[in-house]
Amino acid sequence: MKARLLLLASLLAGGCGQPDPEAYLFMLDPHYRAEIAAGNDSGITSPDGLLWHDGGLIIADEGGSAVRYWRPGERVRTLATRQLGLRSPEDIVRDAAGYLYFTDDDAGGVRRIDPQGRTSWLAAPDQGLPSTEGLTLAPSGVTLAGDQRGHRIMAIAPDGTVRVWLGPEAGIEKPESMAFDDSGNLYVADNKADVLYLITRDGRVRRPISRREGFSPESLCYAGGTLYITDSHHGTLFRYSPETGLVAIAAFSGDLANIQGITADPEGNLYLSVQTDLHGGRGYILRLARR
Amino acid sequence: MGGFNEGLFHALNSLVGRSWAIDSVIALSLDNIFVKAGPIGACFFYAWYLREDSPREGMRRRILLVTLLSLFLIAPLTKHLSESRLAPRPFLLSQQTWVLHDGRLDEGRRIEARPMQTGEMLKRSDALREGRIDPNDLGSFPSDHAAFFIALSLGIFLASRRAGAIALAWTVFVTLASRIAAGMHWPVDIAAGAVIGAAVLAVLQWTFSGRWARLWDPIVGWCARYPGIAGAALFLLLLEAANTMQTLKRTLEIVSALAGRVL
Repeated sequence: MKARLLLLASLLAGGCGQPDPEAYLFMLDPHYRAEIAAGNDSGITSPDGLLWHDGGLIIADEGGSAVRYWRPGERVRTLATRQLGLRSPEDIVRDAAGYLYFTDDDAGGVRRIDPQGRTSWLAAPDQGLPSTEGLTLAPSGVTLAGDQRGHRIMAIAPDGTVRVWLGPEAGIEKPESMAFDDSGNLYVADNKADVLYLITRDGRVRRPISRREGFSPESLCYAGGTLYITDSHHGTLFRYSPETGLVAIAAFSGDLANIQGITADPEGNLYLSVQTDLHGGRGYILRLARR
Repeated sequence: MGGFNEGLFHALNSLVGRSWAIDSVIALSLDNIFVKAGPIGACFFYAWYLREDSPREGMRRRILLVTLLSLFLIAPLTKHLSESRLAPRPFLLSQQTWVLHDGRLDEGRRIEARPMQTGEMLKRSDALREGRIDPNDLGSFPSDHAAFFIALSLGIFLASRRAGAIALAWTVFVTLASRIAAGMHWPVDIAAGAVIGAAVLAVLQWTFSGRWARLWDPIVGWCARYPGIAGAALFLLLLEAANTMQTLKRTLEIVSALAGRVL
């Protein structure tokens, strides 16, 4: 009897004795391996939008109400802070002249940081942009910003003039993220209606993926002929092309489940932002490196 | 993870993925409530109606009613425990994994788990390839099925040795062994669930075997006076228990969602 009890106790110890893991990442595409690129000890808090630039990452640090720049092996450099009125920086783009633009879903508007590091409004919230989400640069030179409350996409000219680019009649509930493909078609992630939209160059609105089980697009990144999509509701990273359809790359759980922004470096490595605890300021930037 | 734990897992898991017929039989015991729990329910009724004129009838029925009560305590307890700890089912760990531990992300050891060729487990494997993971599959420790069916079988055993032995054998060799074979649980998940189920049952049976046994007399008496209604109620309770309280959980979710909308 004693031996049986010892065996049972050892079995239970096998399950209970080890410290609990905080998260599991299930890699479904064997061409990638995962690592933590940056964590809270690097100076970020709870990141959202990411943009690869010049060997580092420009980070919309939503939890820290700041925009930062981080390069591997270095401490994070802060480019804009809450002292300038930032609340929840969401998405970031950079133009050829070196200007950074970013949205803010709580403060609204689109801000710009010039190459000298000065922050100003490209378009203020009272110009019909009370809550801005996705952001991208159109080939024509205008900046497109998703307007969450108006269910529309706004075009902002370099002089700050704002006009409706795609109105609510298109059916987009929340333009959370946007990315152009090589042909000039625009993909729009709607994580409220759980739809991936495609707005063709001639202005037609299509729905390549609509209300599919286990799919709610959060952030988009078009690189190397492939659209990469994060899904924060289900903790999944996908790739999509019209030829292959939607393919899962990895599934995330626990502290890593809330994957947000995504960007790619020139070698095809992917960087993902993870918000472990937005209000507590905890998060990670993961690197999915190509093998 | 102990060597015995993994060894037993691989021994049982080696049965699946070889023959569609064997996998279909195992899938039946996983997915089909009649195969999974029917014989155990039959043992419960056997113990309930065994020798109605016996002087031990009242005690037997009290033991069985306390056993049913224990199942309603085990449900929230095992749910709480499994949700408080990240423990993926073995079939998920057959993928390449990375594990976050104290802020470090390390490559996990890949488990050689043979996949089922049919049934619900095949659907879950397909869903995983599409990036869909049921949150329930991330909390395999402890096994709620083990807690439930071990408590139920032990309760039947306390009421009737013969019926209880059959129920226990079915629970161990069919209901629970199939869950290990299919990659749903590690043996340690099952062992922990069994210990929890047995412990809850023991505490309740001990509590209601002394002075408080009289509390059950009105219910036992009512069951004897109205055997038709009592039998129908027992059938429904056992059906819900065999389904590991899924109807109750879903009802609570719906009520909670409706309350959230109203408030």
